[in-house]
Amino acid sequence: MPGPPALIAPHAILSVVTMNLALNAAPARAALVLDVDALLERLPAQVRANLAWTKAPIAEQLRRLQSESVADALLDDVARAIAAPLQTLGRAFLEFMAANQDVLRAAVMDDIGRDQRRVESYVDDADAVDTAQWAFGFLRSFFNVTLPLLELVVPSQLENAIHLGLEDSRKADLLRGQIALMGAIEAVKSEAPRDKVVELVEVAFLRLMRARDHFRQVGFWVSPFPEETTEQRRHDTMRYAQRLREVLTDDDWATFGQARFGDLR
Amino acid sequence: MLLDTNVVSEFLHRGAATRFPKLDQLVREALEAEDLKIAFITQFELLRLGLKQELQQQGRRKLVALRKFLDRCSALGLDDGAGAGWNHAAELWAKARMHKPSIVFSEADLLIAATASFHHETLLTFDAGLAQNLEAIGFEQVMLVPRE
Repeated sequence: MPGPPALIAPHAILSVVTMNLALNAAPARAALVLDVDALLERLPAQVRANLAWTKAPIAEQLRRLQSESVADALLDDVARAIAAPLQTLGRAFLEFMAANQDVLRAAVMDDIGRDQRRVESYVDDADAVDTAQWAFGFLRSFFNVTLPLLELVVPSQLENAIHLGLEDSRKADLLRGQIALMGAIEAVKSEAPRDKVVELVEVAFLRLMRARDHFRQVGFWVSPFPEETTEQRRHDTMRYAQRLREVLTDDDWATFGQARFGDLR
Repeated sequence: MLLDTNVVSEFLHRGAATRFPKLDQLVREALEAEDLKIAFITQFELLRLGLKQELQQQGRRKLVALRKFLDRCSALGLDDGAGAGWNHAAELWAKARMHKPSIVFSEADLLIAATASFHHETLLTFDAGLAQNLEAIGFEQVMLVPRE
């Protein structure tokens, strides 16, 4: 006698959701690295020696972001060029840290925090610091949520994660934002002009914000400032309004006036 | 309270506080009470200009500033309830067309007003003609910002 119709248990729904999240995070796992030197420092000497070859090709590609105009095509090109060494490094890091998720999470948060402070002190500009806080804060929140889910990613999905990720706009923007931030960190290390670092931070912000829009579309909300209060939010709204008053010119508003949304008829 | 595009753009104008002190005061008061609320139409109108400038490689910093501001606003739309807000906008449009004499709203004005009404928010606008036309069709949730 047939039993009652199968019900989807809550945990089954959750597993579908988390799997989807993990798949979205697969390219991010491959690009878990923001600072190659810092990541290598965390590995045992023997492993570090074996992976030393990854530094030069990654740095060489990231330096292209200092000398060329930073557009999506260049970010994609750099991402593809460093995919192999990046995935090798990411895998080694995760394997070494796999025994303890809390240690892994703490290490990632430490590294992001240190990179953020380094970039912020270098740009020395309140607006650029604010932009960097958003970009690093977004990544911090993203990894905080997705790191525990990465166990669900099967190894075969990782092999081409960056290449496949770039073919999916939802994942491509996340990767582009990370690559731009990696470029900013590399630019700080090589003492590139401040304007270039600011440009890379701003590009990272814009791509990560687009990634955030993609995530929201599937119901995944990542806040760069998860502990923000209502008062802070409203204070920042006014601060950003003041900033717009400074940067937008009469010409901009004239163009805006001409481009108002008219009739659909 | 939902801010019309013309209110947002004047508020974000350099010298807004001296040019339109009443508007500046009203928006600041609104912000003290709640997040600034705008329609997705307004977000669309503001953002597309910034995106175009970025593509022309002349406005990345402006786009960043715009994105940050919009990120802190609360944008409302018409899609809730399987697009029930769009039906509400259609009703407003029909009511305006059947008014004697017929009232023709710009699509942007109509959709922003419908967004405010759909979410039970008062529309704060700088456009006296719009406010008058909305009142003529029985739209009560509108507040005209004096040009002073």
